[in-house]
Amino acid sequence: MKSALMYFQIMRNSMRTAKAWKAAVVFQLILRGVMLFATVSVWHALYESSGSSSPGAMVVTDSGNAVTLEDTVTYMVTASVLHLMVFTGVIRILHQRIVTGDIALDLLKPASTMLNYFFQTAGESIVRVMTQALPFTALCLLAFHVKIPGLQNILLFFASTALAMMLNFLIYYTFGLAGFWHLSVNHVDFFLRNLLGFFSGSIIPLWFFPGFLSRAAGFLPFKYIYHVPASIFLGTFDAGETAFSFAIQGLWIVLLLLLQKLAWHFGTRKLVIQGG
Amino acid sequence: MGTLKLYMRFIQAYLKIKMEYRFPFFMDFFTHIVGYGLTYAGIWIIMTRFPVIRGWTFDEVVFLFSLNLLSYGISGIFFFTPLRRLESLVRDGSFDNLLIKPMNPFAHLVVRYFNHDFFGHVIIAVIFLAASAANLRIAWTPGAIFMLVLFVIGAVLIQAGLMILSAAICFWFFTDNASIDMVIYGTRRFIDFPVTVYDRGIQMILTFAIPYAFVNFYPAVYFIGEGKEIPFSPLLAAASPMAGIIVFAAAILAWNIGIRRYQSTGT
Repeated sequence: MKSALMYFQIMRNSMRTAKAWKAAVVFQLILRGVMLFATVSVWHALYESSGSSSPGAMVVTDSGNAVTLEDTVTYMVTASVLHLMVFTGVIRILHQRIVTGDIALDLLKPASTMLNYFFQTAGESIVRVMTQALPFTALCLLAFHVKIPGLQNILLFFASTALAMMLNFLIYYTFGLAGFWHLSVNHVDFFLRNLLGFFSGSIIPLWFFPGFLSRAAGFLPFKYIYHVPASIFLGTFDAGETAFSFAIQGLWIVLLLLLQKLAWHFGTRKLVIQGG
Repeated sequence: MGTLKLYMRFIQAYLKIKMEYRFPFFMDFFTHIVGYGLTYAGIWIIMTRFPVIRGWTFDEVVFLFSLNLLSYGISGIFFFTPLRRLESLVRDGSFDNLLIKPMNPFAHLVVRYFNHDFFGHVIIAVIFLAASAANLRIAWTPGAIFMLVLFVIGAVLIQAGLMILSAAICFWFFTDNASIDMVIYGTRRFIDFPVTVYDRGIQMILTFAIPYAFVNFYPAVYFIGEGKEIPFSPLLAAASPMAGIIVFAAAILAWNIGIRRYQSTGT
């Protein structure tokens, strides 16, 4: 009970800090909107130029329906909003703290370092949802032709997004611990961001991927962060697929929880703090 | 001339530091090559499903994208780090250091920060540019090579000029680097595909206001424009180097106006 209160306080503190940056937020929202507009325009042009007989317009989703332009646009908008909801900067923070030795302060705290950063990320996410994701979604609904699904899909989407956010955090956190082995976290971060962006389906919907790449994406946890919640929102998953995807999301979370525990165990044994 | 000599010394010192750790040094190129390799893979995936976009085929889009990446990479080697760091220098007052040296502050800022990562961009862009040009059977006559070099110089000047312009905004107000990011990561996105993807208004902006279309669209049209929709005039291709000079000159002008506004934070 006491520790639950503590983590709640950590989350509230991070919410207060996150609110402090206002001007930058407006610019970032504009940037996100501009990028999404460019993407949506490209999909419009692709569908118009290649026509309904092109291989792309023949592609079917898991539910067996052909992917329409409207589906693709809705998917891209959802992915863009998802980014605002699941984003975490934990890998940079961990890197900074390991390099400067400030990680020693985390070791002193009577709290789990992982949970400490998780609740910081959660606090930031909540603020980002209220200050950025909501106005951004409203703007997207006005600007683009977005499919609105039923209430059930929306609720399942939020449940899937919550798991996606945990999964995203755990991936970045676990790879951030690579800093204990003096690996250049900059490279790890850049690599991970590109790989995740590609195989999660956040840049191109996975249903357009050729067979072998789409199979490869199935073995990785990344698609459970973007493609899966977006597909649930769109309603291209049936009940069975939705239930299955929740199970796999949970499985990846458990797996990564174990992995980060191992990395933490061996990493902190290697750690040397160079005086103060 | 003295500046150039100094630059060489700075680069030597920089490489000495970086080469101390060999593995990370090569990783710097490698990660970028893989990252942009995935971008090319993305173009391939999209264009196997949708074979044409506004009359442009896969090889033509790769040619177009590579011109953008090549000029961005070259300009990034010299300008990315200094300009992305400018705001924090101005914010904490360490920009003062540049003003009290017997050297032009802009030149000093640029020579102080070199960035070898962008050689990765250049390498992968050259490979894909060459491969797509071969597939498109572009005949590399001396005249065509001369034009390509001219176009790339113009494109580098535009990319650099837009980086300078968007970074110099911090002399007026701070945006936490969002203004420069907006240009290099946001607006530059508009030229990943031919500008004919967009409506007239945006084509006009990309041609006359934020002239990214001169970075790759008009130069590509010069080589492979046959049978394609070309906004305004195909003759604009010849104006690319000129556009580069204008943008770069405007950027230096804005920089000079901005620097006059600079008042140290006093710390």
